[in-house]
Amino acid sequence: MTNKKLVFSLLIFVLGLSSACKTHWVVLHDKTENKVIILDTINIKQDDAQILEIIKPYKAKIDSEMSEIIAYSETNLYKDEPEGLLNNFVADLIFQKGNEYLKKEYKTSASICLLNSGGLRSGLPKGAITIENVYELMPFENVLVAIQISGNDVKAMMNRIAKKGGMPESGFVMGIKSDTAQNIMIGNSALDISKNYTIITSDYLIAGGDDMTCFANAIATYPLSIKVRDAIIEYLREQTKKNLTINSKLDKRIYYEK
Amino acid sequence: MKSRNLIIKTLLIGFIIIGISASAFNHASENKYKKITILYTNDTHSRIEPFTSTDKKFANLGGYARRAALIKQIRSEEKNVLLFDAGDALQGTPYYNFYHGELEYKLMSLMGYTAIDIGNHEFDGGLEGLNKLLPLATFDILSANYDFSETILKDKIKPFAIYTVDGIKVGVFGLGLALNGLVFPNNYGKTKYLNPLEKAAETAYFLKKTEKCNLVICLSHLGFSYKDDQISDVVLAKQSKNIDLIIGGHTHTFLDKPCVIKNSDNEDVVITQTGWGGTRLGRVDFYFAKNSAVKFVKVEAKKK
Repeated sequence: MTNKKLVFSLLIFVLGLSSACKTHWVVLHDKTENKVIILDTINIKQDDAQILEIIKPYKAKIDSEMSEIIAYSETNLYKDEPEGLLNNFVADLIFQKGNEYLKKEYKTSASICLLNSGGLRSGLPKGAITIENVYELMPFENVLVAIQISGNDVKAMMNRIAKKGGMPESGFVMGIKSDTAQNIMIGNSALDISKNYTIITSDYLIAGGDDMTCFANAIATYPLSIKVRDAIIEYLREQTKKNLTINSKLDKRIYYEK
Repeated sequence: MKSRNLIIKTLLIGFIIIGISASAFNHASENKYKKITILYTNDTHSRIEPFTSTDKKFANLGGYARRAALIKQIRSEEKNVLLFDAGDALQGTPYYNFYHGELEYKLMSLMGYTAIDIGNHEFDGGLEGLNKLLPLATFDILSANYDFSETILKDKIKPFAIYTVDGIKVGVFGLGLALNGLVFPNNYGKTKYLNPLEKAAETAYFLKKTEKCNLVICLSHLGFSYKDDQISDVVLAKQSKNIDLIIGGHTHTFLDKPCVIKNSDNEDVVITQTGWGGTRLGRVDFYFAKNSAVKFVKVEAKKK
């Protein structure tokens, strides 16, 4: 090795060393510290005043509209599986309101109703029900849709419901055995796979939500001009107008077969 | 003799160079270690106010004003703070239905969020809805596996971002769920969903190896883990390389302690998630040390 080469390579080492010092910060995984801080009034004594001030006008407008009492419930309505007080209450009223809109907008009717469990985000309390309660129950902007599918696809739908361990529904009765639907009754008659059926549901399930692939082969689709939430509000207001309170019952519309 | 003198001279010059660069460096940081504080939330779901006093699980917890107060306090104690959200900041209370995310984005900007991920509910107002919110955001919105190039969000959502804090390069990227069946098709339009595992591998490699980031963080709305083989944070972590931290969301999982998993290089990956509704703030403090450069030189010298 010539002297020139030696000098050059030594310089490269030294420069390499200095640049390594400059850029190589290595994370020390064994030193990593973790913490989860619960946002309660013990950990945080005082809320941020500036943020509260900004929220104020937004809150005032919502509060004035949300606090309106629109109905009274005789009991706490909550979600359950395979059926629940809330599931049955909401599915029954959507079935009724959906058919009203379907008749008005398309002069036809549906024989069953199916909703998705995840769409019912919160229960309804015993006593006064406010607009806010309904927003918490159904915060999403989904709209009602009626869809006509074949009896075979209805059967696939029922099997999907069975596999999920039940979904909010109205208009049919079914048993669940080994993840499949049994003894399906639509209204007063057994499911006839050679017939077509019209179902009231939401655009969420029509779009394949909850893996409801059976809606992909729709024979006819009828988008309705009402959101799920607005249908609930409309129904509750109507009951109150008729001096009726809200109630719900379990009727074994979906049950486990022994 | 002549050559020995040369070696000595060269070494002397070299040490002077090291001395200068080392002192310049020490000037920037007196300490042997550096610390970066990562704060995070996920699935806050428009919970502007705390949960009501009658809530069964979360009575009086959360709220933006309280979170902001805590973040301010931490920033006053720590020099190097980054703040992230792993998606679904939107939807869940009337605040979203009335104002379509305006207040959430305004307040998150005020809190100094660094970057957020796109959850499935960020699509609830359609692409137009998200587009309208962008001017209110001072934070980056990241997604490495949603391709918005044929939509109005083209060039507005970045796949990743690099934040240099106190000389530490932090690379951050976002991942989202398959939209089909989860989000109403009209709401995502021509957005293309790309395989999150492939995009994660590609993006993390780029950040760690090409960009030489000291820390790589994935903001993920994939969900913590599933019974079936659906892609989740756990699945991602196990087969990954070059990711140090996954800030997760979607499954509303309350992890009191983060889950630490070995990646395919047998290195630690930390997975976190703070449930939902903004009732908690997560915090991870990473410490960094200078890599030993002596070893580096020895190896090089041996080769020669």
